[in-house]
Amino acid sequence: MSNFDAIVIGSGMSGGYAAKELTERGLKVLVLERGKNVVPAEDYNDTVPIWERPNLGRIPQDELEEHYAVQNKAAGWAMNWASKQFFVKDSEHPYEEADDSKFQWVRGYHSGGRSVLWSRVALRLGPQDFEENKKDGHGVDWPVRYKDIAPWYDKVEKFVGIAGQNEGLPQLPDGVFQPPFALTDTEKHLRESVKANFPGRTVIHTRTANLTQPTEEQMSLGRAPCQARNQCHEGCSFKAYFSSVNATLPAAQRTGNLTLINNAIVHSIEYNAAKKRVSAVHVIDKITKNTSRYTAKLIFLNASTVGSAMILLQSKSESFPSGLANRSDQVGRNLMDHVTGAGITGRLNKFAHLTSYGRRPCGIYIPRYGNITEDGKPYIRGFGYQGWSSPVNTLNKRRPGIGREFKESYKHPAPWEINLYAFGEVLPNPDNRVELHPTKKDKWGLPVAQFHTTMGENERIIIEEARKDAIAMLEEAGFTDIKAPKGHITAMGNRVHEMGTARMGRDRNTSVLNGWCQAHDVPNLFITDGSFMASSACQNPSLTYMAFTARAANYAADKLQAGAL
Amino acid sequence: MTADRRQFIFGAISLVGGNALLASCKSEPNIKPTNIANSGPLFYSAADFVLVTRLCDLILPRTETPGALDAGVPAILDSLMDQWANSETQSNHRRDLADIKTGLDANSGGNFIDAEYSVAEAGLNVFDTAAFSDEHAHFAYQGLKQLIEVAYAASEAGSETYHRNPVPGYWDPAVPIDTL
Repeated sequence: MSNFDAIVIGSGMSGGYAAKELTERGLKVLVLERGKNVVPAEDYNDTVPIWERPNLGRIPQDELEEHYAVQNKAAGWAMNWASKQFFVKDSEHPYEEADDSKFQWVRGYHSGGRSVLWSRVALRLGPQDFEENKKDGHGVDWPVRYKDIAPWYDKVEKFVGIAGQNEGLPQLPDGVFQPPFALTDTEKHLRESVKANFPGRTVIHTRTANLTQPTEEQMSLGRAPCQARNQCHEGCSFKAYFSSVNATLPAAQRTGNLTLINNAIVHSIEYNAAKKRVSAVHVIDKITKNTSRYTAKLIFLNASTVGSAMILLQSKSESFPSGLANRSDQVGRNLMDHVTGAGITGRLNKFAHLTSYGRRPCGIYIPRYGNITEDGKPYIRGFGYQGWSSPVNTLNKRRPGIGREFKESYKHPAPWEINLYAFGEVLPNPDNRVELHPTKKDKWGLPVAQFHTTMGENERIIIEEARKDAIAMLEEAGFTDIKAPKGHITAMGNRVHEMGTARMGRDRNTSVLNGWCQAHDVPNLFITDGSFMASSACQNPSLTYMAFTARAANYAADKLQAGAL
Repeated sequence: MTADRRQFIFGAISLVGGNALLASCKSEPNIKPTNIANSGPLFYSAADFVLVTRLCDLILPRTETPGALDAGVPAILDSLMDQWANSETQSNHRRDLADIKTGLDANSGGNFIDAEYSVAEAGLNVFDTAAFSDEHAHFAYQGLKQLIEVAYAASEAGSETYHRNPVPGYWDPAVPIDTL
């Protein structure tokens, strides 16, 4: 099948955005999605009240163990009866961890991919994040600087809808924001204390992709303001949080230029050596296992960091015997995530007379300060914190008492508890990689992924220092009952922020992509999921994926329309 | 289940103040608890069901708002243990109930179930206080109590009691508790 200007492989965070940009530029676009379609009006279960859900919305324990062991281990807090349809069954999608490697691969195979599941924290990278590889020698120099991507952050934020507040922080640049979800008084107290006692550190509102004041464009896509339910992982019938299903795919659909094919598992991308271009995509139907071949002038690979690397490695040819666009041998390498440890909690009595109403879908953020506003750290790069606060007599928290007093304890004055989790940068390391397993295949005959991944010493130091710093900030602010367990560090993959397996760089011998997310060796192949990231920074990366996707898509459309691809 | 066993359970529930539960079982509940009226408990023994019923009644009694029995919490727990729990959880739960009952009997003049309401209430109060102390922390009891509250809060009646609006519509971070 042919006649497409572009094929986008994957419909998640970046694939959806690529489809939107390319179709709006007038290109006829085919999106290949390996999973089922998701139609909000038919598939979302978010409006079913908990008392109508089987087992109070809990997934039976045997089912979790048999089918969702990895998903539940890493993201069990987001899994329930309504959201489990957005997680893969591990029993159907096995993978391997080599030697002592640990990797938790959390996935969702359906239209929208993990954009349906994300936790919506939408942060820009700062100028330092594009410069540190060059300065400290870890990884390769980004071929892009902040000023290059800043206008694309503006464009994406305006379309996506980010609730947040400008703070004037150089390391976490301001953006195009809708009104933020207000801080609790406990969070305001911490903000003021940190400001007074830790110059260079700041407690801010989480910048979150939930609409608080939708624009005309957002409303035209059927999107409404957030209803403060905090059920975002179930999909949202109000389409108040951003996902491909809620926003970019409908935007692409209304151009009339989109064709979406579901259950389309990409086997490989075909390379035409004579034209030195990719020319087709080979697909296995998930249900029938029939194969198809689709052609286009341009291919955007957005199958997720691991998925895209696997497709490249499967796409072998005489020109690329070790995998498409892999002359540098960097495809699959430099696999990064973020690192965190146990949460730090503390209690404050000052606002015991208050509680809250509604369920905010976000909390607070403490942007990175290590090696930016504070020097002399025993680690390189740095970390930020995510957090939130709530009264300790919140329902469902274990506490003493029986009878009327217990039942009405939610009306009683009680301390507030704050929770902080560090999100640390993971350094690029070529030995952290995914490869094709030499013998094991999945049910479609494709090699399963084999991971070689470990957290390094810098990551361990980051988490320990983050623990100490959090304790100091909470103590200084007067929090008591501080609990900060030591010694826990997450496995790679646990934060669901994989990136780096087809990094961009200035040198085609040490990187896969140029600064436009364009393969050095294949001009009409673009990779704009997390694969392109040359470093992980410590900020949640989805906004950056979308900004680079928008930039690359418009670059590619320009070139295509100019006959230069 | 035989008619005799069902009658025994109904009698036992009435004994510990479960008339509200029986009333709720006559209607069609939305939460899909065990339909006690039709089948009796699916997971609990008759004695365990009576114990859970008494605990629910004492921990979350009917006040100006519906109690745990009004919300059908014992039947919800029975359903959870039957349909959600795996065999390990089921086994642990049975063991924990037996352990909890032993402690409560000791605090209630020898028989927590048969004791007068006030005696059982006093016995549970002592047990609960100890269960949350550092020295005698009883995590199984804490877990059971949490499950009772979770089930209550998840019920339609409990949601109303706790002002837990399924669609709040907005976020207010600072609500004076004296306005609740």
